[in-house]
Amino acid sequence: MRVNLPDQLLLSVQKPARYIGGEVNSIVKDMKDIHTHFCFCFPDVYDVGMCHLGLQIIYHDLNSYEGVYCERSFAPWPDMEQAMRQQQIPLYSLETFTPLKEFDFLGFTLQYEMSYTNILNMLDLAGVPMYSRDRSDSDPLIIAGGPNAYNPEPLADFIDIYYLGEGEVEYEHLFQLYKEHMAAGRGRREFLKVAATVPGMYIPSFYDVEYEDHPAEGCDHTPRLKSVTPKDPSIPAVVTKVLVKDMDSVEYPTHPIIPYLQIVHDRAVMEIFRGCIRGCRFCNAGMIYRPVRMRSKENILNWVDNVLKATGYDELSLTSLASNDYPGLYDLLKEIHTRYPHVNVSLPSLRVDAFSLQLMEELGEGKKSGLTFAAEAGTQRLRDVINKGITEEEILGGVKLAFKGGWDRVKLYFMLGLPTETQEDVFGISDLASKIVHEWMQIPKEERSRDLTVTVSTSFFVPKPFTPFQWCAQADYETYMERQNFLNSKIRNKKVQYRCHDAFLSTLEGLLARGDRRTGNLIYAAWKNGCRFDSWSDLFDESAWKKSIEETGTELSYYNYRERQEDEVLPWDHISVGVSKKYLYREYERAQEGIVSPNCREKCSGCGIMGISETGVCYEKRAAAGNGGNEA
Amino acid sequence: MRKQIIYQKTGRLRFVGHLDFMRTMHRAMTRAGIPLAYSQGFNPHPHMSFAGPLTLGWDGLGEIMEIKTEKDISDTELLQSLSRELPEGIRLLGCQTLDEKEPPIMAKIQAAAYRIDLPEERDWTEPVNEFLSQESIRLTKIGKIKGRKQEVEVEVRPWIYSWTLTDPHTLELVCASGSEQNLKPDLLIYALYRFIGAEDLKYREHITRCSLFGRDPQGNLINYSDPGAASGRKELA
Repeated sequence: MRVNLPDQLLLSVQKPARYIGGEVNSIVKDMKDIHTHFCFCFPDVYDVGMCHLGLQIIYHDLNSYEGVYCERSFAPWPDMEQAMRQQQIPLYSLETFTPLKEFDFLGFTLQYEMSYTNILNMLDLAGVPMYSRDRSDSDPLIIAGGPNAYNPEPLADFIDIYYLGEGEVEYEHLFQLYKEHMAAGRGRREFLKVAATVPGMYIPSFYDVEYEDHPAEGCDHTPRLKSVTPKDPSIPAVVTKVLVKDMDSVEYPTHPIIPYLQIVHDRAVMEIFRGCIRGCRFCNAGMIYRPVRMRSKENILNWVDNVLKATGYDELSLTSLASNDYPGLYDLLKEIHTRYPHVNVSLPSLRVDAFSLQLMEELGEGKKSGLTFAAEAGTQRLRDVINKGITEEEILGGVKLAFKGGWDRVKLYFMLGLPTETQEDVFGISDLASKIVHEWMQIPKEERSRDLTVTVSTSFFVPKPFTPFQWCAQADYETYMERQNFLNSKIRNKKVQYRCHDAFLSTLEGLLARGDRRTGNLIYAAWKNGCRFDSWSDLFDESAWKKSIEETGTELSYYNYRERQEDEVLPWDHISVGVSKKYLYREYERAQEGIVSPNCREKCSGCGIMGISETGVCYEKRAAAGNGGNEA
Repeated sequence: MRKQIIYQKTGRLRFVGHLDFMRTMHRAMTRAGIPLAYSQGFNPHPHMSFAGPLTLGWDGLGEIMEIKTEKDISDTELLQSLSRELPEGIRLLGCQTLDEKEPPIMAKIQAAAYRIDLPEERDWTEPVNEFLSQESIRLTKIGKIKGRKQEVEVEVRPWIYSWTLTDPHTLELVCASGSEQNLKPDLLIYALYRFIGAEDLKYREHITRCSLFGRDPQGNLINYSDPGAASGRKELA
C-alpha cells in the first residue's frame, strides 16, 4: 500500500517539503529484492532529524546491504499530525510512502530524553500497538539505539529490541538472522530469542525486574530496585555495547541526502574521531563513546573530495567531541583549504588558544565569528570538581589574543546546580564575564574593534547514567531558580548579556535520564495528556507533565533529589558501556575531593574500556602521544 | 557569460518553496561543474536570478532563470551536465546565451498564462462566467502603503487579459504578472469561492503556470517560455 497525500493537505500545513521525500541522494530500491524492510524513525521534526549525522551513517550503511532497504520517517509537526489524524492517514516512510505498520523493523534513535513522548506518538500514528507485549507477528519489530539507549529502562515496555553500541557493527548480522528466521516461517518471540544472541542486543521483555519491599529512604512509597535478571539462562545477564574497531574500515556516507528544506545545519559533516579523552565528570558522551578512535587524515581528505562532488555543499563541518584532540588538525585543515579555498570549514568544540585563533584567522578569510568557551563552572575549584581541564588564565589569555585579532563576540557556557556548588561558584560566573570585559578595556582603542558583546548562557546540570555523577542528588527546582536569579542579579555590566531559562525541563530530563522501568508509566501518561515535542519550548506543556507526575505517583524525591548509595542497584547496571562502575565511583570520590584526573593521552585512569576492545587511544603507542601537533 | 534557462518545476517539487528551490538549483549547478560567477564582497553569492517566484503548490511549465558564468560554456553542455544533477520534478527545456546588455528577465515579464483545475465535483461554467463577467473585481491583498505592509484593496478586473473555460472545470487565464501589475490567480480563485459561498474549497484547485510573457514595442505579448522562439531578442539586437 502507498499512502496518498492530497494536495489540499500538503498546502494547509507549514513547510510541506518536510513530508514529500525524494531528495537528492535519497535511495530508491526495488521491493521485490528486499528481505528486510527497515525504517529509521527520528522522533523529532524533519528539519531537526535531517541534521543528525547518525541518520546519514545508518541510512547509507544499511542500504549498502543486499536485500535490505532502509527508509526514513520523522515526527510530523502538530499541524500535520492533526491533518493526518482527521483524514486517517497513517504515518508513512518518505522514500516509498509505505505505512510504517508494514515494515519489518522500525528503528528509533534516542538522542535526548525529551523526545520520548514523540516515539509513543509516532507508534500511535503508525497504528502499531504501543506496548511491546500487545504486538503480534504482523507488527513491525521496534528497535531502538543511540546514546540514551544505554539506560533502556524508561522505554523498556515499548521497545522490542535495544541495540546497544555503534550502528555500523551488528545490523547486517541481525538482518541475516531475520532473513533466515522469516524463511523458516517462525514467529516474533522466537526471533527475539535469536536476536538476544547477537552482541549488543538487549531484549527487555526477557528480564525480570524486582524491587525491595519497603520504600527508599526519604521517599513515600517508591522502593529501590533490587535486581534485573534474565528469565532464561540463555539470555546474557549483562549486555555490553558493540563498537567499531577501526574507524577507517567502516563506510562513511559520501552521498548524504540533501534536504530541499533549509535545515538547522545545512552542510556536509565528517566525524573526524569518535570518543573523547577528556573525562569531564558530568559528560555522558565522554564516557559512552570511549575509547577515542581516530579517522586517518587520508581517509578524511578522500571523503572531502567525494562529498563535495556529490552534494554541491560549500560548507563543511569536521565534528568530534573536542576538535583540538585530533592529532595533526592543523595539517588537515591546511590541506582542505588548499584544495578547496571557497569551502567554509567549521570546527565545533574548538579550544580557544593561539593555535586555534591562527587557524580561524586563516580559514575564515577575515570573517570573525563569535568565540565560544565552555567553561561550565565559575571557579577553578568547581572546574576541578567536574574535571573540566580549562583554567581562567587560558580563557583570559585566549580572549586577549582574540580581541587583538579583532574578535568582539564572546559566548560563555556554564552549568548551574553542579555537585558541591556554592554561591561563590555562581558569583564566579559573573566575575569571569567581568574579567573578560576588563581584558577588552585594557586593549588600546585603535587595536580593538568598536564594541564588545559577552553572552553568558547557563543551563542546569542534569546527572546522567554512566557518568561519575550518576549517584548525585539533582538540585531541585527552587535551588536551580534561586541560583539563576542570584546570577542574574550579579550580572550588571552592560556589555554582558545573560541567557537563562526555566528549570522544570531540566528536572524532567533528570527524571527520565535516570528513570527505571516504572518511569514508562509516566511517559505514557504524559503522551495521553497530550505531550509532544517537549524539547520545543513553545510546545512544551508543563501542566500536562505535572498532572502526569501526579497521576502516576512518580516521586521526584526518589528519582531526582536523592543521592544513590555506592552499593545500590542502578537501573542500567545490566548494561555495560565498557567503563566500569568501580572507575566511575572512584571518579565520583575524586570529584568530591576536587582532584583532577589526567586525560587518556596523559595517563590511563583505568576506566575499563581496554577490556572490551583492543582499539583506540588505550593502545596508541605512548611515544606517539607526545606529538599531538596541536598543543602549540 | 549570460545564460537563460527554461525549465519545468512539477510533481513533488511543487512543495519546495522558492528559496529552497534556488538553493537546490545552486547545488545542482555546483555538482554539475557549471562555472557559476559569484558576486564580489564579504558574502559572495552566485549570479542567479529568476523570472518570478513560483508560488508553493503550483506547477510551472515554462519557468525562466538566468545565470552568469565566469567561463564560457556551450548551451548544450550546460543543459546536459545540469540535467544529470537535477532531482525528479525539475526538467530543463532549453538554454540560450544572452547578450550582456540584455535587461534581466525579471524586468521584462508583464503577464502570465495559467491553467487552473477547479474541484471536479461541480460544473463551473455558470459561476465562472458570472464571476469574471463582472465589471469590477476587487481583491484584498497584502501590499505596501507608504512603505508599510498592510492589507489593501485592489481593482484587478483590468489585469485579466483573457480567459476561457476549456471544460466545465478547467479555466485558462492570461493576466498581469510582474513587478508593476501582478494578479495572483489563487487570490482570484478564492474570491470566486467566496462569490459562490464555498470557501471550504480553498486549496482544492490546482494551478499551473504555463508561460511567462513580455511585450513588444507595439504592446503585443511575447512568450518568453517558449524555448524554440527567438523571443523578440533578435529584433532588439
